Amino acid sequence: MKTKKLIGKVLDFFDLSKKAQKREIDRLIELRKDLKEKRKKISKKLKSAEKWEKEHLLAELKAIENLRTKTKEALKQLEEK
Amino acid sequence: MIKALLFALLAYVLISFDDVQTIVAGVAIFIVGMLFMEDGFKAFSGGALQEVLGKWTDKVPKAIFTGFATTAVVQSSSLISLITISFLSAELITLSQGVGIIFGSNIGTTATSWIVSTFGVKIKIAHYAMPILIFGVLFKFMKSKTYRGLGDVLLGLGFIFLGIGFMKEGFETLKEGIDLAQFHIDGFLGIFTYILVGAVATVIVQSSSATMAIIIVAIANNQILYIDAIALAIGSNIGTTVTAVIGSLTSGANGKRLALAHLIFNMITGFFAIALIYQLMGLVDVLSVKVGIADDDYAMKLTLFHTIFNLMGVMIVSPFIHPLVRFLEGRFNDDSQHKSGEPKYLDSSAMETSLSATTAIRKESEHLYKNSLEIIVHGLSLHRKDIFSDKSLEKIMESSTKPYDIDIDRMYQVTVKNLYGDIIRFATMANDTLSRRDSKYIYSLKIANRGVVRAIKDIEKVQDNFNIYINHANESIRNEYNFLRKKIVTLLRELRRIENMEADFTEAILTIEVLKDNMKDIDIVENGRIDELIRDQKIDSKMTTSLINDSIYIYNVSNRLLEFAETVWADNEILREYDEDLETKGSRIHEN
Repeated sequence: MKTKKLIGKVLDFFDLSKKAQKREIDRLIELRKDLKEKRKKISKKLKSAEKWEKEHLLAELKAIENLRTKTKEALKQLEEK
Repeated sequence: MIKALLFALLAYVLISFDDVQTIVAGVAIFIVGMLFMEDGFKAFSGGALQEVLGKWTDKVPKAIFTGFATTAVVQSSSLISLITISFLSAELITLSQGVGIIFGSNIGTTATSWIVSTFGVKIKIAHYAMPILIFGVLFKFMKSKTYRGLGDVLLGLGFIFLGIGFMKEGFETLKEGIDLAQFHIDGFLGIFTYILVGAVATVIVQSSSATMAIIIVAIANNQILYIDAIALAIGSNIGTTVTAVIGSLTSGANGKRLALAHLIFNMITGFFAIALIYQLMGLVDVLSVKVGIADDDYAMKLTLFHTIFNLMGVMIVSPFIHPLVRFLEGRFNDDSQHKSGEPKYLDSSAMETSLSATTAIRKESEHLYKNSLEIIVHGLSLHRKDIFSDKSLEKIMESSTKPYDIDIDRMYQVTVKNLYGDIIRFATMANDTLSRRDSKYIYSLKIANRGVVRAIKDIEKVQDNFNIYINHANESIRNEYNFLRKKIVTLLRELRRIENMEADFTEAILTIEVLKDNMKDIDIVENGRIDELIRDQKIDSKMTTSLINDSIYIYNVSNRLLEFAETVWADNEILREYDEDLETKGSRIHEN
């Protein structure tokens, strides 16, 4: 049993697909965090933005919301795997 | 004819002398073991080896160390050379890094000598071979590719042990009948003779590790003198480069550059080893006392000599790596052969590993994109230098009113068609090498490339109307066509920005998302502008039809380019997969 466990550990060490999946999850979590930060900054900017700038900032906010929803769903899919 | 004679001679020797038969069988089994190890590590490491060689080689000393460590672990310098050449072809590493790896790999090959001299000749190593072989076979029958790879590694190790056992047995019985040491020749004549024998033997068995194993087993059985064994070891180092040079004759520029670097390195090392042979032997004696090697343990002393002279070579040659690289690049320069429509990165050696194959396809896709961009831009009567300048959109429209009379189909045939075909062909051929993850990515790249090619076809369809309407007397239709052109210019400028923001993944992905939304108002029907134009009688029926069709074509072009950018520059497979799920509910690209 111990040998099987040891072999399993060795194989896990070399199993890059699992590592890649974990890296992907970390990347998505990091992306969500970055997006949250960006949303905060843009919301702050929006308060004092000129009219011409507002349109672009609103488009960015919309994109951030879209991406956050997508990342949330993608994370769910990945964790279910 | 010569080959047939050699085979006949070998058959005669094998039949006549039982001891020789055992030794040669040992060498054959040893080589089979090395081949198994090589295949096994390719499959078993599942890309770990490539990852290490790709990432831990950014500085030359690091590359040397990585070359040493990986070769010592996988026991195969040819596998490491193969991966290095494939990485060079895909431009994953520079030639300096590649040369560093090869230098380090030379030191790494001495690991085999250490195994043979410490375990091989001192314990009954063949006993350990049997259980290893049994487990190797068991793993080999398993379903998982990783387990099968592990099986190959174990079989390789088992065969190497078994081979050493056979060689040992052969030499033990041989010494009862014949003493090879009697063929010793005094002085430098003897040294040069044995260097030649070592080199020829390595060229014949195609493996310096195998030659070293024979030499170590022979010296452990007192079959040859220490000085002759040293000369044989130097010869084997030179012989191994002959094999590499012959192998590189049919390879690309990168293979030739590395083989020549290897040859130069081993020649210089060999020269210094011969010139300083007695001093180095003295150094080995001093160090042997310090590390506890017995005075009469010539197998270990030979291994120490082998390691020291390879280390010495690295110390002598590595300060000159950069001039050496400049020389090699000048000697084998094939960049000038690449025409715009020919692939730059799809070298067959890049197919050796999943990472290099994927990188080569990605880079070639970027090449395809650049060529396609030229057609798309000119098809809309725009200038590339205007698009990527600081000029305002209005100014660009004002200065680009003259229709560009280009033959899109001819440009496509010359700069895109073959390139696209080569990418698809290479991707298909490399499929067996690709990991599951990379295979999925390559599939996305194929789709993205197809999109770029179809974008050209879309532009071909709208070219005539653009040529007519960007100069039309009717201001409304002129404005609408310029609006479409402005959208494409904005898109291309943003895509260039994304292309250059490699490190900022979030910014890239966010820009793409904003662009996707921004491009939606290209579709004149969906944005409602067409109703306004018809109601106000600003355009006639013919113009209406053209505008509706062309706005959809341009919308498709923008989506195809965005899809390409998303795949190549903001790679996030998971989000893309999620996007694809959404797309099945409502297609983003209108099929015409």
